[in-house]
Amino acid sequence: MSGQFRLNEPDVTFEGFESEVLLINLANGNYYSLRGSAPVLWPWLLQGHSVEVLAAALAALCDQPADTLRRDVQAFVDQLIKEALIVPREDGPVDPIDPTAVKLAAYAPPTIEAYTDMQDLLLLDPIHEVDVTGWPKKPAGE
Amino acid sequence: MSRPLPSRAPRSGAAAWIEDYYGRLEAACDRAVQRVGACTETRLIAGRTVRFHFIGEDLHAILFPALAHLAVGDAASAADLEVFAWETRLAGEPLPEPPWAWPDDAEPHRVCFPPDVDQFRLMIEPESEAQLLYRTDRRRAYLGVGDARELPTHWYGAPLRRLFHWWGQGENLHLIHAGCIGTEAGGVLLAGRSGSGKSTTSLLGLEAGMRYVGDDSCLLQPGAPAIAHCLYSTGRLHGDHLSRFPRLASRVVEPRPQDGEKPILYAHRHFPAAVATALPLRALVLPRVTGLPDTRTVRISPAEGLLGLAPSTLFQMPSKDADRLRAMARFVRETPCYRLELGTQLEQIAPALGRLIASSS
Repeated sequence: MSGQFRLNEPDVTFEGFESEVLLINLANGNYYSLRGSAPVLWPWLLQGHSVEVLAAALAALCDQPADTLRRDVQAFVDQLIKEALIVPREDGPVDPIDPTAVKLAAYAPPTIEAYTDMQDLLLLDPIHEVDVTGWPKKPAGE
Repeated sequence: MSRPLPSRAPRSGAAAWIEDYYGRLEAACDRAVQRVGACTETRLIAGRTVRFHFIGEDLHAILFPALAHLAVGDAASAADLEVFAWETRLAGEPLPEPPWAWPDDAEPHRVCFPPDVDQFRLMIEPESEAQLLYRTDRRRAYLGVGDARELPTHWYGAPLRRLFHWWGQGENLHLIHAGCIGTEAGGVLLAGRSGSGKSTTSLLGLEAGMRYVGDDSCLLQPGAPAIAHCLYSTGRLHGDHLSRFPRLASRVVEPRPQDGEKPILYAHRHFPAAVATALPLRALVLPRVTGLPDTRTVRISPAEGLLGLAPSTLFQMPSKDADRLRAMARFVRETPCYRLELGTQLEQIAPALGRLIASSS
């Protein structure tokens, strides 16, 4: 899949640091740490740039073979999709990527580390969303 | 666990019935107060006036002790939060019949409303026959309980925790899963998953004469410096603690031993000078048990600090607004973060934290 994506809001929220991005998925109780070249790719990905464009931007920053970069970026995006952290978007990016605005000291593949040790906390907070008829309203006549 | 909403209507059917129910609840509460009276307590939380009306003496005895350490507020001041806590057994005035069906199971349920009635927050605990309804635009809450004697132990040690989370969202105060202890120079936020040594470190600090803001939760006020506000003066001691802290263990209470929950220490009763209503924060500390003799502090990155602080806070009280994560991220960027490698020589721990606070002040 080489489409364009956005953050899976409001279930997913994140904070970015220079060498790491922390993501929280409130829907499944998992949290994630993105490392390697992921912090560089992450804002570009959320802007809607495709895998091909991301790989080309990385190629401008390091001396890795193009197919290696494309494979690494594709694997990274596939895992983000699998964890429901990003979802497809209809519109494309507004601005092109400017790789010169970023520094990449040494290339490392983008990685995702998933933490699943807190899923049980969500089980203690069962949520019921009220629908347009007013659930959990009692049935008429009860 | 949660069900997806069907297609959204401009105005949902929920608006009419929840507004009607709220009005009936207000009227019933007024009748209950007229019938049996209310015990009113005015306290300050983070400088805000919070007024509690306990209708039924049992609720006062159960809910208020964990909050009694808070500074007394002006009874004539307008309230920033007003809470009516109502025991129907004693008030002789039942809660109005709710328009919702009580869940079939005994687990707590949180009800989320469509956007056009987003000013209401509702929590139902069928096992306790408890219902908490909060209205954000009026900053008023109604807690209805069938029989206060059936409330489980956590209501004694950390009462109305969900309410303080909801209220804090509107006050830029963030309920954080963290302990906090300190000195006159400031405090440290102790964060980490269960079993990391957070509570043990908090209790060690209390025993060593440090200032105590809490062992498990506090309200974080962003700023330079950020401030940790005390909600509860209580601590909870599990099995290991009872043998490790005999002086504290002799002072715990078990309101309901049958619950199997941790005994409660009301710190302000036994260590009144230690309990601090607020401390400026000098550092974030993530305790970690090592099994080695000596304790040491290791500087960590803001990202690692947030990884230790944010998840349990967000998952304990999930909400889809990003403000809490943003507030915690600001805190770790602006405040030094450390890993506290806990040694087995426990007498080293409080002095290590004292030195850390002094060097960070």
